[in-house]
Amino acid sequence: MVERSGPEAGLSGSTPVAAAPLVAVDAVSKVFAGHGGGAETRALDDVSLEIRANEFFTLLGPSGCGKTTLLRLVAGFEHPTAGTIRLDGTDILPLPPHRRPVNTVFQSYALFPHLTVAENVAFGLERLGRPAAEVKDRVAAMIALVRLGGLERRKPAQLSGGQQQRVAFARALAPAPRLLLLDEPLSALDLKLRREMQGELKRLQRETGVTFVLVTHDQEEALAMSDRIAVMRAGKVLQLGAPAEIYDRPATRFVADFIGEANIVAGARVGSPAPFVAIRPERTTIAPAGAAGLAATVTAVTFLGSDTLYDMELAGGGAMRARLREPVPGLAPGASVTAGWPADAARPVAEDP
Amino acid sequence: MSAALAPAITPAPAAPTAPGLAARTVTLLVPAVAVIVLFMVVPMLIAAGYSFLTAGAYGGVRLPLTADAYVRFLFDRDLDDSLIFDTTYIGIFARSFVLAVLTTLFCVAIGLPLAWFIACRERRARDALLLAITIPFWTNLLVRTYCWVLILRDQGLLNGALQASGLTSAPITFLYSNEAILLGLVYSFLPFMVLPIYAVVEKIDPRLIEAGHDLYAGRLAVFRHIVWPLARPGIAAGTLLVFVPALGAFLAPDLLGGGKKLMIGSLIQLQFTSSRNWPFGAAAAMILMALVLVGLVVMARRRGAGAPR
Repeated sequence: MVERSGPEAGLSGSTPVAAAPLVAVDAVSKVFAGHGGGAETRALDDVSLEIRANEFFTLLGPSGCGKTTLLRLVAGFEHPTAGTIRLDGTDILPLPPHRRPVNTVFQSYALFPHLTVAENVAFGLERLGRPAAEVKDRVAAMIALVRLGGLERRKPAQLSGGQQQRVAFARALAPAPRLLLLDEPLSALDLKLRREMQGELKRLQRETGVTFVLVTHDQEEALAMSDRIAVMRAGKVLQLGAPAEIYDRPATRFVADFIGEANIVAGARVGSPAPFVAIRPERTTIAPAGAAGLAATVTAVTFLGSDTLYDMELAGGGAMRARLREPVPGLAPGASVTAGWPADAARPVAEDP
Repeated sequence: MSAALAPAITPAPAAPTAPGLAARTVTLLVPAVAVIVLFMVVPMLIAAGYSFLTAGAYGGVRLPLTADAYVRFLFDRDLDDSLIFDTTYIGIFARSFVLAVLTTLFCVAIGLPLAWFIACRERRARDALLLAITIPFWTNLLVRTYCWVLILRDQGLLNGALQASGLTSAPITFLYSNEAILLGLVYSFLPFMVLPIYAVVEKIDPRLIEAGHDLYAGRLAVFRHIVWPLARPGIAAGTLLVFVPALGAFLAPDLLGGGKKLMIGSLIQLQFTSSRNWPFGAAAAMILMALVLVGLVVMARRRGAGAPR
């Protein structure tokens, strides 16, 4: 049985970062059987990664990359085809979901419609058999933490989307889980509310000191909130690192393209030993035709206010985009130019596995 | 009815005033009220009227007006024409009530897990199972109840199987008992419990179940704290649909009870057929209806009181 931390641990907020990983996912694969004799789907393919205590960890990737499957494996809703998952050094795969000290914030919140806000938040604590007085205190603390004071007696249907979201956080944080899993928690909110809740999530993570694992397909969200990001595609982790690291030194072609924007050029064309090089549009330069670089033709000019975008077609095929602070006077579609970049801007990237 | 509808289709003023609107609302209600009056209130008034008349010698009713039928329900007339308290009919009502309650309980006990099981299947299996639930409706209830006679009688399928397997040496008498009636009632009314519960539990978001497991609830706790409360409206609807008709059922007690274990339904039916005492039949029907109404009002009050919690 996994040790469950007391409720105080959840609010300490100043726990030192442990050296040993909190979660160790080791060589995990998940294959879903095909429907009616159809082909089986390999949702996860030999994934290994470690999540440290107290960090904000993000699984980032397009839909169908296996990030939600990995989350459901950790929560216990699915069982891996191969591999092990350890929490605090203990294998948690034999444990059913209700015995894992892990809580989930669901994409659609999944609040219990027949229970009030306070009863929803108390649900986990009551199932754990905590004394009534402790449950009451803890529920009050959680509702204050997510700033829902005064709404304790409302039913979920009487709350706005943002308020329901906060109840979902409070409910999942109330039992002081070792790990909080968040399955695209902000995707149902409109843009303005989403930005607001991003800051709110960071605050909750800081104040509770609970380890957060976020699943998202929104790279901006991932960059803004995470301590570390695992970029996933087709059931594999392509790169794992801090946001700046992933942005500055993408490991593969897909990562370079998915995180921010990137011009991908075959390495052979620019004298690089790597299969490809990636150049960010903001580091791409435009010089008069004949200069050192790649010969190109301007195809479109887009004025964005602070920046101007120049779309170019390379002479040897392929497209390139430059994002310039200062527009080049008189440069219009059809003009012949040379696309260039500073030497340190061209990042070598590998082909995707 | 066309005359009643005519005012409704006359052109309305550009901006209907409040009294004009009220008049139109009343007019539009007329067809619905007419149907209720014609098919519900009038027949019940007839039955209520019959219950206060005197029985005709060969069935039917005649004057004078009398409350004899209601008196007969509680008292028997002695040889010297004095009234003595008689519990025969109260006993029949009590047996009916107990059987109807048991029928409802069994239907919930079987129907809730069954509805939940069906709701958890994949779409195709779900449709097939629902179809299987409704198939009995395609055959007459009389035929289906008689099939139970064939199964349960001394030389029936069940006794045959028991004796062939060597479990018993002589036939066991299953028929003509309260248990046989109960079996027939549960069998007849189970679909009326399963379908409303299914309609409710089918809409329960499976993520709520996952959320329950995620928040440290085992299977039993999930059922008790999530499935049960969310299924309650369906159970309430099913209880109404099962309890009320079970209280007035007469086929099962007639065939499976052998007409010896009377229920209210069979008592009423007898008064209009072989006993030829229409006023007493009508009075029994009125008393049954009054009891059901009181029960419903109490239930509605309790649900109304429980709602704002």
